[in-house]
Amino acid sequence: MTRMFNNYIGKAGQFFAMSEFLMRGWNVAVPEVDRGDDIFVVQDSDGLLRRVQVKTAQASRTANGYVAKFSIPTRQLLSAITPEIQYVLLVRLPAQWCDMLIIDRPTLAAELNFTETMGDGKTTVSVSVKRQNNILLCAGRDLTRFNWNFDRFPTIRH
Amino acid sequence: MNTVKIHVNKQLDGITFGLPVASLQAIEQEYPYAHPTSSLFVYFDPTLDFDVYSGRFKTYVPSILTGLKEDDLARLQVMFLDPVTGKQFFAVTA
Repeated sequence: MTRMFNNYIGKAGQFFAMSEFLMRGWNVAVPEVDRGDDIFVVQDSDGLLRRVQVKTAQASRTANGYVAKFSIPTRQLLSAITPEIQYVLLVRLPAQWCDMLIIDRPTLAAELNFTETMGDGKTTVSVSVKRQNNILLCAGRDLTRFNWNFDRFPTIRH
Repeated sequence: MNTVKIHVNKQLDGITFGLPVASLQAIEQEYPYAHPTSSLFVYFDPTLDFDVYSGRFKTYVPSILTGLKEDDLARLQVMFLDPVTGKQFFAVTA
C-alpha cells in the first residue's frame, strides 16, 4: 500500500461511518473547509450536533487477532471543546471493516492516561489497538465496550 | 494533590473548561465524594471583555468542575491553563 492509498482508505472510512449514522436516523454533513472535524452529525428535530472525527487503520494480523495504529492530533486530544469530539476508530481487515470503536475525547484521553507532558513536542499521538480474540486492548486498557457502541447516537425514528 | 489544573479553551461564544486526566484521577482518588466532571461550557457574550467574566470563572468554575467542597478546594491551588502551550490564564490561590 502506498501513502497515497491512505487518502482512499480514510475517505472510505468516513463514508462508512456516515452510512452508519444515517441508518440510525442521524443526519450528516461534511465541512467544506477541513478544520479537524470530519463529520457533523445532527439530530434534525432539535439541531443537536455531534462533532465526529473518523480515524482509519489497516490492521496487521497477529496469531489471535490484529494490531491497528491510529494517529490522533495531540492538541485535539488535550483540548476540551463544546460540543466534544466523538472519535470513530475504524479498523480495516483486507476484505472488510472489522471493528468500530466509538469513544469521546475525554474518555479516550482518560483511557490512554494521556497527560500534557506526554504530548510535549509531538503533533500527533500514536494509538495502538490490539485485538486478542474477542478483546480490544489499548495501552493495556480494555476498550471492548466501545466497539460498535452507538449509545451517544441512539436510533432516531422518523 | 496540591494543585488542580483546569484547561481553558476559548471559543467564539464562550469557554470550555476541562479537567485534564491527571487532575480528574487525583480528585477521584483523594475525594471519592466529589464526582468531578471532565468539561464545562460557559456561554458569554463575545462582544464583552473577557476580563468582565474572569472573576466569576475563578469563583465558580473550579467548584462546579471538581465537585469539591469549599473547604477542600480552599486548600488547593487552582491553575487555569492553555492545554497546548501551558500558558496560564489566571491563577487562584486560596
